[in-house]
Amino acid sequence: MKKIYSGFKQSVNNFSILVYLLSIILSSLIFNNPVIVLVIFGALLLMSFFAKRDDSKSYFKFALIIFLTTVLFNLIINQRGTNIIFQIPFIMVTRESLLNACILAFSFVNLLLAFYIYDALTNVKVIFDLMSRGLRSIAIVFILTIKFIPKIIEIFRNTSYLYKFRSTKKTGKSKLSRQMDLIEIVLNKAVANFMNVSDVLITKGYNNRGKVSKKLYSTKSDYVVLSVSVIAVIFNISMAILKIGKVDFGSSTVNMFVDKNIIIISLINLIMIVIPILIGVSQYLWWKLYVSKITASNMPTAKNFR
Amino acid sequence: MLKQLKPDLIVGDITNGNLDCQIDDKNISYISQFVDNQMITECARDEFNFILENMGYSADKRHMKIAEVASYFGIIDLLDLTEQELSGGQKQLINLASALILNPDILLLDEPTSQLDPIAAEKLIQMIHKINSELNMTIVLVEHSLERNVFFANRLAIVENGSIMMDETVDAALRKMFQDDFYKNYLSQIDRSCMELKLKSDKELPLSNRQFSKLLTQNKNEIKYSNISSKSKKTDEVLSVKKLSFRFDFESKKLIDYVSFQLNKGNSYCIVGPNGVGKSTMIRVITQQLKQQSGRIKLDGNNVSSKNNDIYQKMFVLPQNPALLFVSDTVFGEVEFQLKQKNPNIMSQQVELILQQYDMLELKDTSPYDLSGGQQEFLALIIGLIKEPEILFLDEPTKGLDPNMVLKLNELLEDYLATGGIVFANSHDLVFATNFNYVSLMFDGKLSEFKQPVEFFKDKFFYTTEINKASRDSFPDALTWNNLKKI
Repeated sequence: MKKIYSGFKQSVNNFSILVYLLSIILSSLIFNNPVIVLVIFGALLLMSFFAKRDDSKSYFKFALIIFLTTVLFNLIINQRGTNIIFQIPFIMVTRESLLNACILAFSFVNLLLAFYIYDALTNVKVIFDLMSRGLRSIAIVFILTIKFIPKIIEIFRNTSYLYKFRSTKKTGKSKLSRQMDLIEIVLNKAVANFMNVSDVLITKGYNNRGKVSKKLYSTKSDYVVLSVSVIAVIFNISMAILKIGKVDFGSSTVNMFVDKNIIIISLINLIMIVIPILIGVSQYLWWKLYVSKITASNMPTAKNFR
Repeated sequence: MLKQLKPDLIVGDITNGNLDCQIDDKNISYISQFVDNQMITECARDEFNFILENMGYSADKRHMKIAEVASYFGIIDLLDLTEQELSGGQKQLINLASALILNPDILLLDEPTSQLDPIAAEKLIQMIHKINSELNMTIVLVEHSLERNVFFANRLAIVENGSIMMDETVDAALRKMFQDDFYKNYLSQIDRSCMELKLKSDKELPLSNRQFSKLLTQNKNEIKYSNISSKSKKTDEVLSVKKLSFRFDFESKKLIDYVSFQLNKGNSYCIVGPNGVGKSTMIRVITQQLKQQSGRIKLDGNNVSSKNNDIYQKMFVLPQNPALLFVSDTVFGEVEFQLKQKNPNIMSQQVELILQQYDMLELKDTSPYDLSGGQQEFLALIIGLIKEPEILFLDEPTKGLDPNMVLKLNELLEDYLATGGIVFANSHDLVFATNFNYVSLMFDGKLSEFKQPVEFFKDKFFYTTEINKASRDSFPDALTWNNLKKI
C-alpha cells in the first residue's frame, strides 16, 4: 500500500488533490440512498486505509462511536414502520427504522471518513496559500487552529495529569466543577502558549506577504484526477437536482431499492473515490514493468548504440 | 532587549532614546529560545517557501534559495520531514536556516541551545560560528552559559537590571567577571579553574581544553585533586523498577527496553543522554502518565498504578515545561494552593513567610506565566518542596536557569535529600549531574548501571565534563573546577 500511495503522491500536484477532496466531500453529502451510501462507505474505507495516518486508530474508534450512537439515537426517536424485527419495552425496532438509522449513521461516518482522507492527503500550506490570497485574517485563524488545537489537547492531557500531583486532598467539589477549574487553568496556559506565534509570523515576514504567483506543473495523472473529479461533481449535482439517488429519509416507507440509475451513480462515485488507488497502481505497474527494466541496467541502451 | 533590535518585534513603547540602525528591519533575523512551535507549516521545505513567498521571491529564485540553504546546512534529507519527526537539534538547525534564507545582515539569537543536548548544542554553535566567519554576518547571542559560545565571540556584554553594565573584549570581560563574586559563576569551567588556580599563561581567555591541559601538566606539582562529591547513603529501598518496557506504537522500537533499577532513601539519581532517547518518557512511565507494556514498578512495596492515589501523594513531577504545573493567577496563589493541600486554614502571613524564605516575595503578585523561564522552574521546585514528597522527579531542571540559580537549586535539593527525600532527574547539564549521588546514561532504551559521578565520568571520552576532558592525563578524577585546588 505504501508503494501505491507513494506512486500517487509523486504523480499528482496539490491542486488536483484539492479538487479530488472537494469532490469526495460533496459525494458523501449529497446522496442518501442506502445502496449508494454503502458503496461510498466501502470506497471511502478503502481510501482511508490507503491514506493511513499515525492517529488512524483513535479516529476510527471515534467514527465507530459516532456510528453506534447515531444508530441507537435514531432507533429511539424514530420508531416508524410496519415490519417489526423485535420489540422491547418503549422501543420497537422495525426494518424501516433500522434502515433510517443506518442511512444516517453511514452518512455521518462517510463524512467523517471524507474529512479523514482530506486531512491525510492535504497540506496545510496549500489551503493557507489559497486563503491568504483574499482572506488574510481567516488564513491566520486557520493556521492557529490547525496548529494549536492539538497543542491545547496536549496541554489539557499534561495539566490534568500533573494536577493530580498538586491537588492531594479531596475538595468536596463535584466532578463537573473540578473539570471546569481544570479547563480554566488549561485556557490560561493556552493563551500563554499562543503569545509567541505572532512573533513567529513576523519573523517569517507574514506582514509583508503580497500576492504569491505559482506555476503548477500538471502530469497525465493530474488530468485524469481533475477530469474524473470535475465530472463526478457535475454529475452528482445534476442527480441531486433531479432527485435521483435520494430516498424519503425518516419516513415509514423508506426502502432499499436498486435500479439502473443507482448502479450508475454508485459506479461513478466508486471510481471517483478510489481514483488515487487506481493511479497509484498504474504508476507502480509502469515502474515495475517498464522503468525498472530500463533503469536497472544501462546495458540495453548501450547495446543499441553498438 | 534583543527584540528591541528588530523593531517589528517590539512590544510596548520606547520611553527614552532611539535605535540608530543602518540596517533595514527585513535584514535582521531573530531566533527564539523555543525550539517547538517555530514552524508555521508542516515541513522545512514548505517553511522556506512560505518565508520566500512572503518576501515576494519568484518560483525560480525560491527553488535556488532552498537548494543553497539546504546544502549549506546539510539538511537536504530533513526537508520533507514533519515537526514531529525532527529531533530538537534538527528543529533548531531548520529554525536557523529559516532565519538565514533571506541573507540577513544581523542575526539575533535568544538562548538557541538552551533546549538541546550537549552534542547537538555544540553542533549548532559550530554552525553559528561558520556563518559568522564565512558569511561575515553580525551575530548577537544572548545566553546564560558561557561554556561554549564564548570561544567564537568578539565582544561580551553583561546586562543587569535593564542596562549594560559591562561591554568588553572577551578576554578582558572574562577576567573582570572573575573579580565579581556573582558573575564568576558564569565563567566556563576551564576559565574558572585556570583563574582559581592562578595559572600563568600568555594566552588570551577563553582557554581551549588543550591549552588548559598543557598548563595543568606544567603546574602539576602545585595542584591537588579535591574530592567534594557527597557520599551516597546505604538506606532503605523506596522505589523499585523491574524489567520495565515501553514503546509508543506496535511498529516503533522500544524507548524503554527491559530496564531495572532501585531508588534508595536520601539519595539522588541523574540520567544523562542525547535528546529523544526516552529520558522524559521514563519519568512519565514511572509516574504513570504512560502505562508500561511490561515490567513492574513498586513504591514502598506496593504496585504503582494510575488508579492508586498513593503515588500522587508520595511523588512529585517537575516537567520540562514548569508552567504546566501552575493553577493560579499569581505566585502567591501558587504557594497558597500548595500549602492549603496540607493545611486548609493557612494564613496569608505564612504564605509570605515561605515566599520570603525562597526570595520570591517581591514577585508575589506577578502571574506565574509572566516569570522568566528560570523563575518558573524555581517556583515549580518550591511547590514540589512544600509538598514534601518521598520522590521528586525533575525533568531537565536546569533548563533556562542562570548559573547562580543552578547553585541555589543544588542547595535546595541538598536540604531536601537531608530530610530523606529522593531526587530522580534527567539532565543535559553534565556539570549539574556531577552533584548527584548516582549517574547513568540512557541510549537505545537501555540504562547503564548507576555509578557515582567520578566512576561514571572518568571512563567516558566524549560524554563528560570539559574539566574531565582537559585534565584526564594529570587528574583523571576531576570533573569540575572545584575538584582542582592549589596546594
